[in-house]
Amino acid sequence: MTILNITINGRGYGPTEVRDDLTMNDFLREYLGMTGTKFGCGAAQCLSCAVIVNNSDGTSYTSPTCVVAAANFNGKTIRTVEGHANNGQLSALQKAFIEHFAFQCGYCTAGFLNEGQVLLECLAKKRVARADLEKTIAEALDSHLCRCTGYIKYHEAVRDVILADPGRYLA
Amino acid sequence: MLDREFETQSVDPMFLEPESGLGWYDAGAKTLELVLGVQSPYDAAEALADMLGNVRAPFKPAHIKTLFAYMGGGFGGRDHTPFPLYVALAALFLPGRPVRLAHDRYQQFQGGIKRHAFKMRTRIGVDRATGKISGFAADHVLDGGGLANFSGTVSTVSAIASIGIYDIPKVDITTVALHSRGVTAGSMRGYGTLQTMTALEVLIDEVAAALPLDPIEFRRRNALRTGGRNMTGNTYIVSLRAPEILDKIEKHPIWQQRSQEKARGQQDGMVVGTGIACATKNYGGGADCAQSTVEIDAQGRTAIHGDHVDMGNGIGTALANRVATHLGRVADEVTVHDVDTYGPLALVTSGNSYTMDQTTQDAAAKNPRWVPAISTATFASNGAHVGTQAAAEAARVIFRFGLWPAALDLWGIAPTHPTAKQWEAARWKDGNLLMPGLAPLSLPSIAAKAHARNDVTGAMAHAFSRWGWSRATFPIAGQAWSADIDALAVRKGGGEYARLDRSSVRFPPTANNSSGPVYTTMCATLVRVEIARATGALRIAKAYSVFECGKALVPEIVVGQAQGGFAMGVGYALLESLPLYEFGPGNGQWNLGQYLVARGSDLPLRDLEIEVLPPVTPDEPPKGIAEVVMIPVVAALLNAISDATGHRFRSLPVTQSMLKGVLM
Repeated sequence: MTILNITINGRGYGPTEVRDDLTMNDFLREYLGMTGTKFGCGAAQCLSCAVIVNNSDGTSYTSPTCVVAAANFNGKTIRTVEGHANNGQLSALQKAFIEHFAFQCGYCTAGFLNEGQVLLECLAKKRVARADLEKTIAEALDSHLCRCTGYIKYHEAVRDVILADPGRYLA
Repeated sequence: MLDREFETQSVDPMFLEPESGLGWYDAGAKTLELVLGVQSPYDAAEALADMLGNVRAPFKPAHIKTLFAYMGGGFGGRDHTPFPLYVALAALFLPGRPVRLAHDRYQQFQGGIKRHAFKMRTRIGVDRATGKISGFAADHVLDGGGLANFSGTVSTVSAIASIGIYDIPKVDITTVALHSRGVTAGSMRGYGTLQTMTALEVLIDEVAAALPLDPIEFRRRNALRTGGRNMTGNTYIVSLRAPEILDKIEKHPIWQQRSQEKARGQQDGMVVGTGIACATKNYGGGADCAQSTVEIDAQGRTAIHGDHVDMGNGIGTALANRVATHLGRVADEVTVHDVDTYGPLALVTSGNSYTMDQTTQDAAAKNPRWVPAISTATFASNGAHVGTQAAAEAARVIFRFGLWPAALDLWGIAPTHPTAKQWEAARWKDGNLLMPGLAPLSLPSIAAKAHARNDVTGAMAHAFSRWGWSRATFPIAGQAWSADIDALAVRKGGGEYARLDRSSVRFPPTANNSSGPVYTTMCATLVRVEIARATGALRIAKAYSVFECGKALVPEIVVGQAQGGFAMGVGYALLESLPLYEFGPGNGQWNLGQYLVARGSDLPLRDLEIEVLPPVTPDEPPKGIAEVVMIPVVAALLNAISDATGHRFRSLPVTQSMLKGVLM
């Protein structure tokens, strides 16, 4: 058993005792009722389960939750799909997903949203040349599987958010 | 005459959410409650009742309550899946306890419905002088897996579709689905037509090369035109736009520049090829229903309930948009998967809606509550055409007998005035009702007046299609109202729903189902591939799909379906495969990573062009496109590979190692 302390979407949870083999996906969905994070494959291949992990230096990255124990997140600060909107106002990326009809069944959407948000935060710290933008988006999202959409509208939505604020994201 | 064999593989629908369900059985109240996610909710409920109908006490439920939820994808694989039965059984074995049954991905591969693997032998005869196909014969063998699911109808649907977009005077096909020790096969996007039309379109290209004749010209000479017939002799009663689609393909830069690109590739260590393929796919299954309720409150807020299923196909948005054309506002609330809230219609049914004879139907139709079927699955690309029909007709009733009389009242126009009969001339714009020469009226003001006058503010309708709608007449407000529905109940003001017995009804003739589908839509795909000589790595450089869909209810979703269909076609052609038996998914060891589906890097994300033809007329009904947009992608890729490598692959998938093998 492990004593878990974690911050999720700005709120602290714990200390709480969890089994060492309890996955983060089960902790979120079963213990906290946060079902926005999905379970797709249990093998970190589709990443519908991905969440954002905040680093102490202000950077961020995504992590699968289906194959990673909740205990591994002890002391960390994470964000899930439930944490993107602010006081009921959707984030720029969430709005873009809707405006582009980016998702269809929606099961992969939380993972794409988290990955896209991490990309935005990464580019805000290290801007990218316009000529490299398509490649950058493609590489960032390629680990995520979608069976409905063919990915194009997800990419268009992320691109539009970046191009709408070139001073922030483009070199 | 060419005589060729072609094989297709078993694949998994790989919807992203594995099947799951909740159940609890209250032994005291004998109530079984279930939360499920399927494409066929009404049929799932019927199957549960059928399975549990003969159970002995104390495990025989007196009541079964089913709640159907949104799902993470379907693609046919959740149509008549046995999974709901397992959830019910698990609940019954643990009375008084909540039960959750959820596949993980290994179990979903192990137990989920698969696409049928086909073995096909095809002979095609062509008159060299005219370039016309003179005859077509084929033998199909399907691997149905371990349990009887939809193999019977997949085999017939795929056989009927196996001549694709072509007008062929003589056809002879045998098809047989065999039981095997493989994982059960059933419905999946295309319903067997993907397999047979892939084999066909590869063969068509080979015939064109052998004649020789330009592959587009060969297709053009043999393509069906509007008024043409399906393989079994039924005349298609919708537009057939193959000639227009072929013209689009022929003029497209990908096709026009194919020779230059082929030459360029040779200088860069690649082989480059361009391929096309065409497809046509029925929408609707021959006995399709929709039930819906539409309501407007005194503030003008609208709500829609429908019995079709949204699994990513966008039926909820389509319902909202179609109703908005009649009520001037996109619905505030849309509920789908709702199969049990139409009690006021008091529907009854009997017989088999697909196979009953005319005498049986005529006798049953004398009961004003009878319909050929009450609710059907969301399948066979029937969402846009069928799934929105009842809601659209319910909205028309609300407008005609609720909002329109209220608007006349607000304008001060007497019901006897000639303008009162011109309700079809009214138009909505920006939430206001417009009539020439009259002041615009806002929807909330009209809705408030309709409620105050106790006019119609809600309508509940049932529609049935057997390659043509049921049509009935109902008495409403002293008038005879005829519409393409067969049951109707209305609510006045804030009152309860009251059923309106139809005064006459005409159900589509039972003979409509005797000779195959007559609703179809067409699609063609054009692709260019680049294959590295050294490694066999294939890149799809550019692609273009063009198709018809009648009036697009939600254009963004139509394009999204086509993009998703392209991706699934790429996976089927190049990546996805499951061994049928000992080393297949039945061993419980399959997951993503071993089973490859298309990722973004497998696709021409910036170079896939989708063109949707405008409707033939502004009021052309919507056509279903969810399946047809996937089908030609596969053969187009194979034809492009053949153009690039000179080798015709006749089995799927075509992998990198196979490509490397023929390039060595």
